[in-house]
Amino acid sequence: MRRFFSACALVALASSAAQAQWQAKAFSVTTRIGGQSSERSSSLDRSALIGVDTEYSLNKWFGIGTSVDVARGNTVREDFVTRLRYGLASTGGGDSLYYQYLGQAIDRVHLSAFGTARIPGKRVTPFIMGGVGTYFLALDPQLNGRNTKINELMYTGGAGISFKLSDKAGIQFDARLTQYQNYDRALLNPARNRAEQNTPFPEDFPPPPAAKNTALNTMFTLGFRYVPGSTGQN
Amino acid sequence: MNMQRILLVTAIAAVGITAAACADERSITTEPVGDLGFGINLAKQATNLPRGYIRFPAAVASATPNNDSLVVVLRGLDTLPAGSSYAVWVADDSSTVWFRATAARLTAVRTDTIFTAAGDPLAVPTTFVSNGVNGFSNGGSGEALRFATSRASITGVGTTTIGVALVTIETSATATAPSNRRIIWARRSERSGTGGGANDSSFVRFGTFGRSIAQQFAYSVTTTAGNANLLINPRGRVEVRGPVMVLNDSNYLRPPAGYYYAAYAVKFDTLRGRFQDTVYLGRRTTPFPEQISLYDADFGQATNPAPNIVLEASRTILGMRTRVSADSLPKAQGTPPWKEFGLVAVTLESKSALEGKMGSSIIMQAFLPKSIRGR
Repeated sequence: MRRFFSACALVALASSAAQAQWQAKAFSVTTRIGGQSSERSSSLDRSALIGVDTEYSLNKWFGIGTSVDVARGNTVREDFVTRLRYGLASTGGGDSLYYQYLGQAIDRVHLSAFGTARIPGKRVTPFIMGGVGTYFLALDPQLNGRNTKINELMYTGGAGISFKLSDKAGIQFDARLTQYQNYDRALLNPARNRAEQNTPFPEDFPPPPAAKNTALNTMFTLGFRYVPGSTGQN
Repeated sequence: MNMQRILLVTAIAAVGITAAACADERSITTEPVGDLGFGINLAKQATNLPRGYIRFPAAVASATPNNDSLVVVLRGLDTLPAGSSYAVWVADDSSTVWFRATAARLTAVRTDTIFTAAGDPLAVPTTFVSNGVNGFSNGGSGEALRFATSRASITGVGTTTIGVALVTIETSATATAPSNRRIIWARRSERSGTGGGANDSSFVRFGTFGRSIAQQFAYSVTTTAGNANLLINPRGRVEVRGPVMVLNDSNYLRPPAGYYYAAYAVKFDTLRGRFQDTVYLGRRTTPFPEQISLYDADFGQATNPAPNIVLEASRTILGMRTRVSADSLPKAQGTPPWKEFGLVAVTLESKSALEGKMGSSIIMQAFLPKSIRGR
């Protein structure tokens, strides 16, 4: 990460010398695609995502905008072990147990408002951004036996580089961190509040790291920037 | 790089990322993780803890020799190795001065079960008698012992009113004071029942003797039916999954001083299902993840090995665990693992007895299902 920011700084120095030109009071739309990785304690697996940023440039240095990210990923199945029991342990012959990992797909939506600060260049523009919004997690109600949705506060921040391709188009690479607030990992377990979640074989089914009430996600995305009505700068 | 090439590369990268991350995860009940598990509850066993009764001599010296007899009848003792022996002591109610019971007549009755030609079990008792005995080391699940002496044979007791009789484990054949392994006793003041048929008899308590009733720690009490009533109800479970066997159980009394909990498995023979071998599964530990050895969790230890699990006030052990893999036990390496293993037992073992040789005090036991033992 330090190397990444060092590279951004070098690009910034070069671009500022190139007489950056960003048009004030103009909109831009960036469609993004990439992947995200969540901290281990969240029990969220890596996933792909698509997103749309809409940005309004206050001036050539600063902008504000909104962002929407949508992802469909999976939970970390090994973190949700349960047992399917047949028979009774108290009777002759005992019981038989199937051990199962209860992984499942999960829909993740991020909505946020953000502000950007950039050092505009002739072709390369590094930027940083930060914002606040909400995250929305939705799980399969049929698999969970009930509606399971989470909608809580989220903070986001990151940095990236924009490359000008034409007067109206460009691409950008960015890395963002989002932090879910009031996160409850237990809600990802379809067998929550039921028996048979403890296993007598913890050495064979290692428990996940201790749950936290926040979840940090790291996103890397590639974006296609479009500047409607542009007069030559993006 | 021109714009078309940049767009092409970025588009391919985007499609690749998306394709790589778009697989839904679902658990499928017909695709369990690893081996199937088989579980069975451990059941508390009713007998075979040390038990019996003691008949006290008359309160004062009597002209009737029969009334001056001290008789100790016991079952369920472990066999002790050379150098250790059981000794009998008496004292008055204050339990301050002990007199060793010596010159006794020891009658040992060993009951073996054989099978007749018709296949029926038949109990065959064999009696051994020794005179002038000061201690004994006999034991075993089928061994009954009668240690009888008289007031006149107990040096120094004179006309002292004998209020307490005590059985200890000694490492010296000539010990003049009881060791701290004071495992079996009876008090005239709390005698129960009429074991032996005399008014001055009492069923024994097994545990750790204390000078007063408040200080003593009774692990079990002999009932009028002659069984040892364990004064707690442990519960637990055995589960075998592939090569791994796990015992998880809870709610035990601390072992009496000089005892510890161990786990054993019993292997049957292939053809008839009779006992073939006992396999030592090890000393018990605290539950996962600490798994601290509970070998020194017996009552009266100066240092408690696991204060969160071995409770001082209630004298209990909250939970115990044993995990063993057939990979480390050659006798369990069948196909499937643990084939022909029929019983799993939690036993109370004497530290004075040989470790690894299953004693007679089975506290909990489970009969493994056919899916494990394979027959």
